[in-house]
Amino acid sequence: MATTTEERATGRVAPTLNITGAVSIWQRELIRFFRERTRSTTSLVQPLLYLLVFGTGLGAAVRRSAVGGNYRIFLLPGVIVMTALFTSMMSGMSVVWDREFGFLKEILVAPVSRPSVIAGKVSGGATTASMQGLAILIFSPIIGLHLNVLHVLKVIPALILFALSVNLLGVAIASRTQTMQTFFVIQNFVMLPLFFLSGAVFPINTVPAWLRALATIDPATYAVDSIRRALIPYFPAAQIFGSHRTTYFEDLAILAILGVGLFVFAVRGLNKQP
Amino acid sequence: MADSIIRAQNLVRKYGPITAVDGVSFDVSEGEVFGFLGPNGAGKTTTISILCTLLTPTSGRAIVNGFDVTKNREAVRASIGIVFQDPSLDQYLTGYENMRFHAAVYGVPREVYKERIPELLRMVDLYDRRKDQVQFYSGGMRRRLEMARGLLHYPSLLFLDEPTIGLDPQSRKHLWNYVLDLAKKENITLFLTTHYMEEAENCDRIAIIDQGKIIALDTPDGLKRSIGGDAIMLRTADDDEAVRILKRRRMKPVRMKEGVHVAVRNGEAMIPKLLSAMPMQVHSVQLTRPTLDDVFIELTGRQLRDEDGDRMMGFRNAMAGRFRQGRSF
Repeated sequence: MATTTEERATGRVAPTLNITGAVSIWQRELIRFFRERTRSTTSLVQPLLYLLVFGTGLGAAVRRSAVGGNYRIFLLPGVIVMTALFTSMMSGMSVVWDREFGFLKEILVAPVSRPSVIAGKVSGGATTASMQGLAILIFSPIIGLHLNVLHVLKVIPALILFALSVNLLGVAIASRTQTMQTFFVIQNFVMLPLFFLSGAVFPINTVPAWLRALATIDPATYAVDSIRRALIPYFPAAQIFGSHRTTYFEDLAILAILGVGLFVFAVRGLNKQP
Repeated sequence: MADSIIRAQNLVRKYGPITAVDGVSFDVSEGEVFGFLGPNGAGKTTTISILCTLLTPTSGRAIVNGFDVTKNREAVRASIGIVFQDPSLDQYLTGYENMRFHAAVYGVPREVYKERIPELLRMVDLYDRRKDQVQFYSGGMRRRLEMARGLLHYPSLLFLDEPTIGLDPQSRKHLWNYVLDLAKKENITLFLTTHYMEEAENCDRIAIIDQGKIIALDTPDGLKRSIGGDAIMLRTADDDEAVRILKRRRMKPVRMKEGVHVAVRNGEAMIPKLLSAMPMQVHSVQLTRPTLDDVFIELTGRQLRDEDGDRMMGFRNAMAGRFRQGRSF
């Protein structure tokens, strides 16, 4: 026997949640994100367009009293959520890319449990999406919003919880779909409704009851509301359940519960293969 | 040393109506170089996927490194290394980062992999390129990196699924030198699949698999001996008639695109007899010592690389591929 016998892999089973494994998967997402610098810089162009063009144009037609002040400031949380939503869904769905280019096999055949794989994958995706969402805040002086550190600190947990949920949703969908084309279908039938129903572009207090009901079941609503609560305290809270206005912490709690549910859904998706 | 590191018993894997692996049984001993030889779609990759726990068998049992592949999946995975048929590297990571990722997910401690990775990268001549992203590597370099990666966590058993597919002959030869060298140095059992005869010659034992079944299992020499001597290839003006004549003489000719193939005990002595028995014009006669290709022809009546020899095979491939895509990653 060779000298390596004692070092041989013995088939010792890793614990259910393998931290080192999850951290490596998280790290890989970050390395890839920073390596694709063009993606991270161009991803700021679209939010800026929304904020300046859409915000200014629509703002001119919206009564200030309806949105509690400057429409562009009202829109800012929505644009942050939009950025986090789109990039999170994209990175969750990148499981499809990994499958296409074979790297998923390397991950799935490793002695790392499925929950650890998903934990690493979505925390990586949520980290990068949150960074991109936060980056939108650099536009706030342009639209006349003055921020302090507390504002920013309150945005972070809301953004992370929301990005985690959407990443999990992305993984859950990707592990159940076969082709890259599906992604564009998902984009139209999942992401856009989530965004438009969330109260990102109009206040949901004044819309008809059916539209408010749809907003109530849209997770993005709570992300938009919590970030708006964090950034613009003077804006009236969204009325969601009937006439109840959720607080910042209630919004976070709803996002956290949703995340746990989606985690189970995603693990089952990745486990479904024989 | 004689312990079995792989023990497969009556493995069956069905994809809907198609049976990709049809009752396969074999044992692989520790330290052995064991090859699965067969045409595309014969069930080689499906068998490897079962042994690596990526697929569950429809029925049958397999023990790898002492662990049951269906009951103890993570233990099996931790104890084996795999080089897949399709590339499985992250192209945006560097060679070193791909290795480090692997070390981390396999739980190799930092102190160990800090020495192990450079050592392996030097062994496959990639140390100088370790800081380049894999997207800038050539096909042969990627293969070598995958091989080094498969060995990183000191597996006692390395699976190589068509390790040289898509490489030019020179890189193939080069890669084989690496593999056999590494296996010897690290005392590793190799289980590989190939549809190249020359590569199968490197194995200690070969299982010939066709349409999901093992049709022969022996050493390369044993297999060649089993077909009884030499092979003659005849090209005549009327090959069909030649086949009839040979059959009348109690031989087992096989009609192929290039001519008529027949196994004979003593080739040199047989040629004149064959020629005098042929009434039609004989264009050429070729005498060869038996190769594994001849063994395959003898056993199946088809040529190993005769891709369109069996229409059902193409269908099986396509269907199996579709089912595989649908069911697993």
